Amino acid sequence: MRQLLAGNYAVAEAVRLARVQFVAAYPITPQTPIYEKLSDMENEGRLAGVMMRTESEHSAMAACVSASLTGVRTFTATASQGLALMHEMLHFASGNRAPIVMCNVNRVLAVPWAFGSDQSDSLSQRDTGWLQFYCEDAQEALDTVIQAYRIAESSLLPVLVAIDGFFTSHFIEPVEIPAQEDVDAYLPPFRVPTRFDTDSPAYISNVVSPEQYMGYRQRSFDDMEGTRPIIREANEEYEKIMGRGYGVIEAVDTKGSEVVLAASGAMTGTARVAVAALRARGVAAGLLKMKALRPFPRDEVREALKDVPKVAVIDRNISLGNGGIWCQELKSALYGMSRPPSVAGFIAGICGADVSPDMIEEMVLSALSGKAPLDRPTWVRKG
Amino acid sequence: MARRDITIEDIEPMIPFSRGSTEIFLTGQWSARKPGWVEKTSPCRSACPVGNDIARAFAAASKGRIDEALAIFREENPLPGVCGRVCYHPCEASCNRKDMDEAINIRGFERYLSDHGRVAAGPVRPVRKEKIAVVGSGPAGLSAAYHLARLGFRVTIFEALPEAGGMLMYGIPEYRLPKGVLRKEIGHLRKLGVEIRTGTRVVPEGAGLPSFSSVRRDYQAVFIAVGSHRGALLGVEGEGSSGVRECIAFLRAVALGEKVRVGRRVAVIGGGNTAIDCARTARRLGGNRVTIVYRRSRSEMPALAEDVAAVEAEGIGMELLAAPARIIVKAGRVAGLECVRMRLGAPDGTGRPAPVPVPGSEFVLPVDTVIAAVGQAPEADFLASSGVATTHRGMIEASDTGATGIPGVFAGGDAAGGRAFVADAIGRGKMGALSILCFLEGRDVGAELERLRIGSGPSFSFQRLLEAGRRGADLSDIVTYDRLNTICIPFAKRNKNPERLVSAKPPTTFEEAVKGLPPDRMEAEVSRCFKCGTCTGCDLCFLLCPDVSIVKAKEGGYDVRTDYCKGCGMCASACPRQVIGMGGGR
Amino acid sequence: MGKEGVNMVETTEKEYMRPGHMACPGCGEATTLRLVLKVLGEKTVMVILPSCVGVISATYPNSTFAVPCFHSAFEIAAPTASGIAAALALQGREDVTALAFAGDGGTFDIGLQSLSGAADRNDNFIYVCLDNEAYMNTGIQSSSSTPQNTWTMTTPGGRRGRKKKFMQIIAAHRMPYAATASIGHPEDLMEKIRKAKGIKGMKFIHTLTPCPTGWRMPEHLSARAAQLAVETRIFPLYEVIDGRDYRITHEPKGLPVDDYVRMQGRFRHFTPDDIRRLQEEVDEEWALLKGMTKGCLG
Repeated sequence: MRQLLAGNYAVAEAVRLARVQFVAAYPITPQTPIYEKLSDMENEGRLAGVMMRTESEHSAMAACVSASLTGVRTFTATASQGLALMHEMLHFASGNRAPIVMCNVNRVLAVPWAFGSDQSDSLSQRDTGWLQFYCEDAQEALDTVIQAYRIAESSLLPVLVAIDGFFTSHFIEPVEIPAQEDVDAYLPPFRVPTRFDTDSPAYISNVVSPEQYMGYRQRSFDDMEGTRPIIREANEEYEKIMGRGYGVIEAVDTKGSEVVLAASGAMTGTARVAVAALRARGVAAGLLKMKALRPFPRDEVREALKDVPKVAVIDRNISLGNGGIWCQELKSALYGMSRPPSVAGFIAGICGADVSPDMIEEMVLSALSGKAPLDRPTWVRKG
Repeated sequence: MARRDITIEDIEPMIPFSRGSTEIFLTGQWSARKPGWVEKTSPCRSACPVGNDIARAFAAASKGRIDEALAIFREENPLPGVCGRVCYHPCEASCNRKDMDEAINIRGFERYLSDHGRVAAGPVRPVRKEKIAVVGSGPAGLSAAYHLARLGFRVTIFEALPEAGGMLMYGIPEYRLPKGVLRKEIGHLRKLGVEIRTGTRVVPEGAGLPSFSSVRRDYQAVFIAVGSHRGALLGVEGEGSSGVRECIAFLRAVALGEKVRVGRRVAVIGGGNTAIDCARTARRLGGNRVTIVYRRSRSEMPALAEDVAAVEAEGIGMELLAAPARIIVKAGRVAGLECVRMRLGAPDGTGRPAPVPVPGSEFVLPVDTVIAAVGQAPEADFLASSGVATTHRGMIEASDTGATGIPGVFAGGDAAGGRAFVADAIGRGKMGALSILCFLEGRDVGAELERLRIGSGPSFSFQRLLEAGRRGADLSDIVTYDRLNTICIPFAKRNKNPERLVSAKPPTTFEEAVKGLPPDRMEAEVSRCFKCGTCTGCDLCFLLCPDVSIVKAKEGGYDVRTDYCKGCGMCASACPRQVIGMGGGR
Repeated sequence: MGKEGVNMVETTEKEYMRPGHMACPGCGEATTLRLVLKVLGEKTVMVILPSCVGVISATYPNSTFAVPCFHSAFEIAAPTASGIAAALALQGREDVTALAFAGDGGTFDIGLQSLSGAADRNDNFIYVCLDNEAYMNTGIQSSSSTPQNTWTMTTPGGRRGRKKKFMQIIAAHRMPYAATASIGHPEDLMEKIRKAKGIKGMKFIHTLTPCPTGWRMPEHLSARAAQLAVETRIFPLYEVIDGRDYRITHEPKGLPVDDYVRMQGRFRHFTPDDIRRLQEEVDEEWALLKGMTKGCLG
C-alpha cells in the first residue's frame, strides 16, 4: 500500500510491522514524531507490545537492553544529544549482545546549539559495537528497520538505522508500506532464548579477567565480521519478498569513471542529480552511495573503486583533529590496494546547511582537477 | 541459507554466563574463629537456693509450654506452688533485667506455673534396695524425700503432726499460703511413692516407738528435718499469764482450725516473718489494734520488706526500737506491756547493731494480748542419746553438706540452723539427698558438688545428677548483664501480682491476700525475661549470618559450616542471651 | 549443592544465596541479600550493580546467587529492572519477581534520576537500597547518604551536608509501597519483602546495611550497630503506603545516640556538642515522623 509519509512515520510503520514488543524512548527533536506515532499506535491497540516513557535516553537504552535480554523484541529512537547521552549504554548493549534496533535521526551536536541534520552524532558512535546503516529516504528507512531485526536477531548484535534530521525525518514522500503477512513471512516472531531462566539460573555479565575480556571482545569482533553474509542474505530475502533491496553500498556508473563521488544519507539524493548533470556535460563521474558504516564494506568499496583514479567524499560531519569520518573510513579501506584512488575530502552540509547540486558539481570537479587538497578536508559553505 | 533458531548454548560463549557456585571458595579458611553454642547459667538460677532452672522454664513458657515449664521447676523443686507464694526471691535481686528497667516477677511466674500447669508425676519404681528415713515433713524433709525417691530409693517420712507440711502447714497462715496448694503438692510426692506417716512422732529413747535408734536400725540412712517448732520465751515478768501466747503454738492452733481468740489490742514481739504472720493473723481474728514491737529499726527487721509493707497496709502499727520490759497483769490477765526504748549500739555477733536500752525511757502499750515471736529452736529431745551434736542455741550441728558426726545421719533445714527461709530449707533437703546417695555409694560428695554446683553456690543441680549423660548448660558460667545484647528488647514495666489488701478496711478473712497473675500479664512478663544463657531458638544468629554459614540442624539447634564461616562474630555479638561464644583464636 | 568433603551440616532451610562469597566478614549487605532472596525464592530475576555486591557476587564463572542475576551499570538499577519487568509481563511470566539492588550511591546520587523515572511509571519491581552511607566498594567516599559530620576518605574533616531524607523523595512519587528496614531486625525486614512481593507496581525498601570496614568498627558489631540505629531512632522502621499513609512498624526505645556514635570510628572525632546536635536532630526528625502517622490507617 502506497502512502505519503514523512520518514519518521515510515520508521514507525516499520516498528509496527516488525511486531516490536517493547519500545522505550525519550523525546528529542527531530525524533519526536516517531515516539508520538508509536504512542498513538499503542493507544489504538495497533502495537504488538508496550511503550515505556523513560526519563532520559540513557534509561531508555538501559530498559531496552534488559528487556531484550529477558527475551522480547525492542526498539528505541533518538537523536543528537540523546544519542550522546546513551553512549555508555551503546557499549553496554553490544557487549551484552542484545539484538536491539534503534533509529537515530541525525542532528547536530551542541555546542553551538542548532537542530539541523548532521551525521556527527551517529558516526561518532561507530566504535560502540553497533551495526550502522544510513538511509537515503523514507522508503529505505522503512525497509532497513525491518531488515535490521532479522540481522540483529541472527547475529545478536544491535543495529542503528540513521536517517537525516528534517530532510528525511520530516519530508513527506510516497512510501510503499508492505503487507503484514509479507513482513511476517520475512521476520518470524522473536525467538532468542531468555538469558534469565529461573529453571536454569545463571549470573549474566559479571566481572571477568583481562584475558577473558579480550576473548569476549574478539568473539564479538568475529561475530560482527560474520554479519556480512547475514546482511547480504537478509537483503536478498527482502528483495525476493518485497521487490526492493539495497546493498551495503550502491555503485552508480563507477565503472570507467574518472572520478567517483561518495555520499551518504539524504545528501545522496542531491548527489545523484549533480553526478547526472556532470555526466550530461561529458564528465566521467560516478556515484558511490555509502549505506553501511559498520561492518565497513571494505571489499565492496575496493571492488567499486578499483580502477577509479579519483574519489571525492562528502562528509556531513567532522572529526576534529582529522577530517570527515566517511573520508577516513574510505581511505583506511582503500589503503593497501596496489593502485588506490586519490581521495579528496569535503565537509559540507554540517547542521543541515544547504548543499545544492551546483556545489556538489564543483566539489567533484575540484577533486577531478586535482585542485582539492588530499591531505586535509575542504570546507564548502554558501556565503 | 537455512536458518536455525539460536539456542542458549549459542549465547553462552558470547557473554559471561556464570553457572558455577561460589561454594568452591572455602572462606572458612579466612579465620580460625568459629562460633559455638554453649548454654550458660542465668544469675537468677545461681542465686536461687533451690537451683531452679529459671531461664529454661521461661523459655518453655514463652512457647506456650506451661506444663513443660512447671516440669523444669520440678526438676529441682517439689514445691513450686509454695515458693511461688512465700519465697524471698533472691532470684529477683540478681535478675539481669533490673539493670535495664525492673527485675522479672520470677516468684509470680513460679506460682503461675503451679496454678496452671499439670504435673505428670507418676510413681517412680524403687530400683534401689536401701530404705531412707526422713524425720519431719517440712520443706527440708519433703525436698529430701522427693529427690531420694527420684533416685529410686524407698523413702518414709515420719511426721509428728496430723498433716504433713511442717511450718508450711502449721506456721505460714492461709492468706499467704492456702493449704489446698500445699496439700496438692504433697499429694504429688505421695504419687511418686513416698510414704508419709503423719501423727507419728519419733520419741526420745525409752519413751516408745518409733525412737531414733529404731529408725536408725530399720533404715540405711536418716535425714533429720524437724524444723524449729519450739518458740523462745520472752524472759520477762508476767510471761505466764493468760493472754500471752507463744508464736508457734498460736499459728498452729489457727492452722489446726481451732477457735483461737485474741483481744482487741494485741502486741506482737519480734521482727521476723513469724512475727509478721502472727500480727496479720491477729488482725484477721479481730485484733482491732495490733502493734508489732521490735527492738531494732525497720531496716534491721529480718522480715521481707514486702511483708512489712503488707503489715502497714493492713493497718498494723509498729513500735520500733522498743523491747518488752515486763507484762502488766491485772486480775490474772494481760493489761498492758511495759516497753523500754532501745538505741542501736555496736554490732553483735550477727553483724547487726546491738540494741541497747535507753535508761528511763519506759512506756506502756495498752494491750490485752501479747504474742512472742522472738526466736525458735528445734524440738530435738529425741536425739538426746544419739550422739548427734547440737549447738548451744539448740540447733543440730551439721556441715554444709548436711553431715552430722554420725555416719548415715544427716540434717538440714531450720533444725540445722542457717538461713530460715523455705527455699533454703528445700535446698538443704536436696543436699541431704545427695549426701545420702554419696554415703551409700561410697562417693565423695565434694567431688559431686564440683560437677553439679551452680555458679559458686549455694545450690546445685539435682537434675544434672539424674541425667549424667546429657550435655546441659555450663553451670559455672553465670551470664552477667554486660554480656547480654538488650538493644532491641523494649522497656516494659514489671507485671506485679495483684494484691487484695490495699484498702482502708481491715482484712477479716484468711482469703489469699495476693492473687496470681492473669494469663495476659503472665505472658507479658514471660516475654520480658531475657532467658539469660538459654537458647530459645529465636533464629537471630541464623538470620543474621552474612555467609550463610549457620544452619538449623535437623535435630534442632544451630550449627556452623566451618568451611565457610569467616569468624566475624556477628552471631555471638547479636545473641541477646549470650549463648554463642567465639573460639579458635584469630 | 555441596561437594564431597565440604562440611555441609544438614539443614532444614532453603537458601538462595550461597556461601563462599567475597564479602568482608560482618558485611551487612550480604545479610540483606540473603534474607531478601530467602523470602522471594527461586522465581526471581535480580539486578545488581558495580558496587560491593558486584564484588561479593564473584567473578566469572561463579555466582553466589541461585537465581538469574544481571550485572547492570552503576546508575541504572531501576530502568534495568523496569525493562525486565515489562518483558516478563509480555512473556506471561507474571509469577517471576523483578528485583533490583543498588547501594546508596546508586540510589541517592547517580541513580536518582532513573529511579525517579521508574517510580513515576510505577514499574512492577522491588528496589532494595543497600545503604552503608558511602561509596564503600571504591574505598569509602562520601555520598549524599553519608550523615553530617561523618568521616570518609573524601570528607576527612567530616561531611558538611546532611543525609538526604530519601524516604521523603520516595513518598513524593506516591509509590504503592515503601519501607525502611534494618538487618538488626531481620524478621521485620523479611516481612516487608513478603508484603512487597504481593503488591503490583513499584516497591522501595531502604535498608541500613552497616559496613565494618567503612564505619571503622570491629566486624562483629554490624548487627548491634544496625539495632542501635533503629533503637536510637536514627533509622526508624516504618512504611509509607501510596506516598501518604505512614506506619511505624517497630516502636523504638529511644536509646541515646551516644552508644551508636561511640561504636564507630567514623564518628571518632565527634565532640560532645556534635553528639548533642545529632541527638536534637534525631529527636526532631522523630517528632516529624510521628506527626506524619497521625490520621493514618494503623
